[in-house]
Amino acid sequence: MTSRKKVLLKVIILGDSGVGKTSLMNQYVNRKFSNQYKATIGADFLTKEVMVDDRLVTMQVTTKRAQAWCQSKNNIPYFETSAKEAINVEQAFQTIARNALKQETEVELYNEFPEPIKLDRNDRAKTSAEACTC
Amino acid sequence: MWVHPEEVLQASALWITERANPYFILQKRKGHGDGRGGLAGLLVGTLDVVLDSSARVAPYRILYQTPDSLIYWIIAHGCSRKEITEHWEWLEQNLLQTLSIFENENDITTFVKGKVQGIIAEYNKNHDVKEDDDTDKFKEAICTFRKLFGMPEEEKLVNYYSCSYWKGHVPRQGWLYLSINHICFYSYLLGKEAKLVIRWADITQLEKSATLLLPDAVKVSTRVAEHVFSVFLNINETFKLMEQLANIAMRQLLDNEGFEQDRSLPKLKRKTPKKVSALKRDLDARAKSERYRALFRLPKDEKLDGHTGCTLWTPFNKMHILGQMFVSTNYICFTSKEETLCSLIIPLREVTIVEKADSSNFLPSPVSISTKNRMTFLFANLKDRDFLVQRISDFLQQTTSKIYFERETTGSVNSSDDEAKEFLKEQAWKNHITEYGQGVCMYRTEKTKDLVLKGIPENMRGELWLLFSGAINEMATHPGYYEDLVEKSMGKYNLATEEIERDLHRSLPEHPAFQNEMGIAALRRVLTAYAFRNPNIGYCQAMNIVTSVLLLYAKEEEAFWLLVALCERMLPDYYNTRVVGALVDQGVFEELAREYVPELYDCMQDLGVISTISLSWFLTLFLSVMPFESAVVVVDCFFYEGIKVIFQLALNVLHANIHQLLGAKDDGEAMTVLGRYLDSVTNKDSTLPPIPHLHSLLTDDGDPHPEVDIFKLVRSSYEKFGSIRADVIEQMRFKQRLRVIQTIEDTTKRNVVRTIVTETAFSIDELEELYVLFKEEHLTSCYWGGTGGSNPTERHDPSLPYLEQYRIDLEQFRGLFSLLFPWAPVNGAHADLLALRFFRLLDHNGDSLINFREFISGLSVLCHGDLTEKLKLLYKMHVIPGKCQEEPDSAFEATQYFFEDITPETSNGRPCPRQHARGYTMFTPQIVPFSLYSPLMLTRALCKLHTPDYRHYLRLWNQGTKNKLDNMKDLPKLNQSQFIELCKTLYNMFSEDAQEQELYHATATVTSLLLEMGEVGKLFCHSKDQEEQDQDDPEEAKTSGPAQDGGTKPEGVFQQRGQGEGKEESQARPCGPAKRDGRGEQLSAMEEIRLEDSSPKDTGTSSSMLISDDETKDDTSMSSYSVLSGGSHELDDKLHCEDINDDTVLVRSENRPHGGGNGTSIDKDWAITFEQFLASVLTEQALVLYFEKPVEVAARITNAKNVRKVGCSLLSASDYEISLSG
Repeated sequence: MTSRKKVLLKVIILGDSGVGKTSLMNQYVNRKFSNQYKATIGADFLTKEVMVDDRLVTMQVTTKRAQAWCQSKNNIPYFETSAKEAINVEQAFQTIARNALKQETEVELYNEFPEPIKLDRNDRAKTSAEACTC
Repeated sequence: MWVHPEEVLQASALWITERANPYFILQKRKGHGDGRGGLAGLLVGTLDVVLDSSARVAPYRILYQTPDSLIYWIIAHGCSRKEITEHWEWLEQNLLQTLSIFENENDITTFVKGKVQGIIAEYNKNHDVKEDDDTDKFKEAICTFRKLFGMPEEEKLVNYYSCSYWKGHVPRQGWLYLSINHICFYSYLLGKEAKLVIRWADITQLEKSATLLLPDAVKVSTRVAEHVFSVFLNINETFKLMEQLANIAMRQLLDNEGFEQDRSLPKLKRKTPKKVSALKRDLDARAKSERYRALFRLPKDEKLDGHTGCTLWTPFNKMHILGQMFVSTNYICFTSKEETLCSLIIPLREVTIVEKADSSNFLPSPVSISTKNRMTFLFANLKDRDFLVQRISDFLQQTTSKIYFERETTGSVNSSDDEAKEFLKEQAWKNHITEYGQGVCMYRTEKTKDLVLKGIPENMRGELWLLFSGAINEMATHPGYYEDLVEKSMGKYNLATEEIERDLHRSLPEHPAFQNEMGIAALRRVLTAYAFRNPNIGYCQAMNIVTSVLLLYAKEEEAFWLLVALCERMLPDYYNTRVVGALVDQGVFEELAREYVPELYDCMQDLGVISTISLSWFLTLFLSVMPFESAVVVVDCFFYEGIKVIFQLALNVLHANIHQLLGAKDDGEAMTVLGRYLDSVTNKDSTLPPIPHLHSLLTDDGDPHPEVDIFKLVRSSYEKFGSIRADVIEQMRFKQRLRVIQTIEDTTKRNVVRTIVTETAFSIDELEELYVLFKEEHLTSCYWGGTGGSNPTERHDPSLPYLEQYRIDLEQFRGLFSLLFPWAPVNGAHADLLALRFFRLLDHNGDSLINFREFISGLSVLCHGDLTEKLKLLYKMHVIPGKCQEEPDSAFEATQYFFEDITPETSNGRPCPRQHARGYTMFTPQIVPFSLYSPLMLTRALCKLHTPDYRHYLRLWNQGTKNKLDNMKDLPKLNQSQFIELCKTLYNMFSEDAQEQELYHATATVTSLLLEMGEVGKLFCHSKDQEEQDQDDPEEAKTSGPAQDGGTKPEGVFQQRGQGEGKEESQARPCGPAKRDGRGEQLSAMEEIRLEDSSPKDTGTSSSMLISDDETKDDTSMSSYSVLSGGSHELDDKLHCEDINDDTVLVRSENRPHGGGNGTSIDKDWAITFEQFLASVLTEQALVLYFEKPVEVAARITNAKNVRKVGCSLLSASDYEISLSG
């Protein structure tokens, strides 16, 4: 445990419109689900403090509308999540944070494309599908 | 055509005199008309081309000469003998007699000259060539402009101004020329010339700047330089025009509205200054109309006719107030001199009577206007009253008075909520109506505004929104439009509708109206109808949120027209693909913030908050960030005041949070601060059941933010920032628009380059430069029109993916080709042909346009491809018919065929069989024997030559291309005429190479080798043909063919078969001479072949007539080895002496009558494969080196840029000191 200081991690969620980025974010930060989300215009923003492996981490979660999903790489952690049922949301974000912290020590230099953690399309599609049915 | 008499020196050198009399001679240009012309004719023709003399167009002329003088005057020229003969006869009949009267020769000359000039003047008067409003002086300026900057006629000069251009520290006095697409400057002083040409589209900043040194200067910035102009006579006028033109250019980049001169311009009184062009007047009028429309929120096509000072009687305060009356085709508007006092909009469709009342001293020249809903307006102090009334009644007559819009009186909303406040509000509005009138024509005063700011009562919102936004006008003039649109758009599916569908339930989910299918369906209809109306916008997220609110207060059709008003007038460019308008306003907002909340500016800049968070403020008018009942009040104000109120509120929100924002550690915290603040904005007057807002719904941490009253917020925004004027915002928008659009252009460039960089060996810099050149080519054609056909502007579609945005056609490609491509021959005619071939090859989808990726893929092969790739490209270029205007189908199919291997993104190694089926199945039967024997032949050839290099290359080729081998076999064969074209191309390619001679030799060897191979191959082909013929059914023969060759493409065959027999005939045709055309011809061809077969001697001489040696006669496949060597030496010698005139050797074979006398086909069975071609080239080191050599594209780019910058090639770049930019 090298440091006990606060670490700020920025997490940006990108994806096609209507797949449930806002839902996922809100489930993680506020542990709530609503079926009344408006389409997010521009970017939305929430902050959450979590403990990851004994380190206090402030997670800023941004939902961003992106035109295209860039490249995907191998070995990306895969989670099937549901924002509605709060399945795997916590775990997914924990992994994100842990991986990010690991990278922090590994890569000091600025990297234009840091390893993305892919939350596969399907799970988000599932999320939104469920969101619609209720 | 008569011309102004001009002295000509040589009367006879290049002309033949056809007729003569003592005073006149009629001449014809040498070499014109008579088919061959001989050597002299040819020479003259060349001269004409080189000198670009007018004689090319007008090969006939009439000269005047006095008998004793040596001087000739040209007085007429003509394109045809008929034309010139008419002139001649007129001279003989009318002038000859008269001339004999004169004694003095000088008199005769004067007379003749005068007469001819008279005729010309007369002619011009009668024909009045075109109605041109420009004055002579301006015409002169246009000429100077064109000459100085090499601009084509299509480039319209708008105006020119005297000013100084700062070059370093020295001002250069000269003229600034402003044309539609360029800003140009020229000065010539003390032997020094300064010249500047900038495209408006390249301008990134345009500023009026004032420094101590230069109190009045205009700074024009591009990506690469800044230019300062000063000492203007009237800087404001010049600057305004510059802005306007830059704006037009940005529009063009943005949404492709090309500039079109407005022909229906009202003819103004001719008191305009002498040197002003019609175009300038047009632009001025346009700008005025634009301001007029913005001021009164009138529909987009409304044109201001005129305006005049007057007074208006305002009954509510019993006063005559001073102001301006505006008259346009469908409206009469009035605004008081003191802006907020009163304004009035009277649509002519509402007007019943316009009459001149009696003049009195107290009220001079009054006019009263009555409307349908019995309001009467009294104007007075009208200067040109008679003219004005006449004008209005003219317009009235054109107004078809459709009584359509009868909004039934409101009250549909249940008034069970008899809350006092709401009731009072309604009461206040009712009073307002009685006092100031109802409907469009109401007097709009400060009082109106006050009421709006207090919030419009729930049940009047729809009506008043329509009124204030001006949507009511569009709706009234387009009855039934919306229903039509709904009907038409019903059941249409596209990207827009898909996106709409996804967002329907995410628009205003908290409101009960959108929790059932009825509300959702209405929303769907309105959005879909709009997407259908305006495909440029289609659908953009945020429109759903705004529209859902509109639907709550207005009927469906009204909501639609409100949306139209928003998207097309009140929030310009907000909802296009790149939300340009919102980005522009974000920029304006940042600028305003710097000015009005300076203490925040630096920290906000660091936090980047303004850009992240304010986007949704603008795009949704705060609807997505504030609680609904509060945001509706913002919408009320917005419809009345326009965008100004949104800026005020946004500034006020920042201002109210200064301290928290200053204390914020990062952008996240700042965003949270603002988010919480906006969440807590409440509307205490609201009678609606409270709808929890998203954020408040979800965030429950910490103490709730203190409530902020929306009305107080609005009030204080007026108090603090109310001084921001709409026209200032407009000005700032212009500046930001330049920035935003140029940034988008840069981003597009970067994205395109980034996508493509992995596919080529070009560096990023090179690609960026190439992209710029490519885009410029596109823009130039937008300016001056392409080759007709498709309109270039239609080709630029900003909604397409980046790579597809700009596309060029053949004409434009040709220019780039000769500038950039390594193979482009210097010889013009062939360059064009080669460009055409190349273009066809690159144009994968056959739409006669190529995009940047296609362009780069071609250039990349030429510059960085290995030998095989280059040769393959060269080969394929010639499989595609060269001059196939007459058979576009085959060209298309040929390009279809090649689609695969040139594009990396679609290539999966093998072309798909379906495409084979269409054009080239007929080739397949022949492939088998060829590929079987050709390696054998190659080896033999190589053994003989014994040079290690070839083996090396062959080995390399074998290793590197094993996987490609399959599709290499699939390449169709070249027939003889195609091969001849290929040879021509080869000969033309080397003309400037250092190794020219060697290359020619090598080419000669290779081509003769290939000719031989083709010959040999024919024998195989014949036997094959015979086999085919043995089978009775030709159809079956064809299908069995491919089946034999290991079933490479059986699917293809079935496809073709399935297409039916009738089709088959026509399909077979385009494939050219290589195929036997149709059944009947095939039969005769077969007979012929049999004949040939029986006498191989004939075959040899007829098809490869170049080889005269006896060796050909005993030629069988077995003896090919000796033939090769012998033949090639022969040919080598021949070509050696003839290679200057490259075509002759091979073309001769084309002219030679052959076989059944079928002119187009040379030798139907002669063909070579790509492998043969490749292998043959590999035998010549010079060629190998040439094709192996990578090409440095950087130098070519620089060169191309220089050529481009001078504009047109009319100028030789070196003559001038040119500083250019862009």
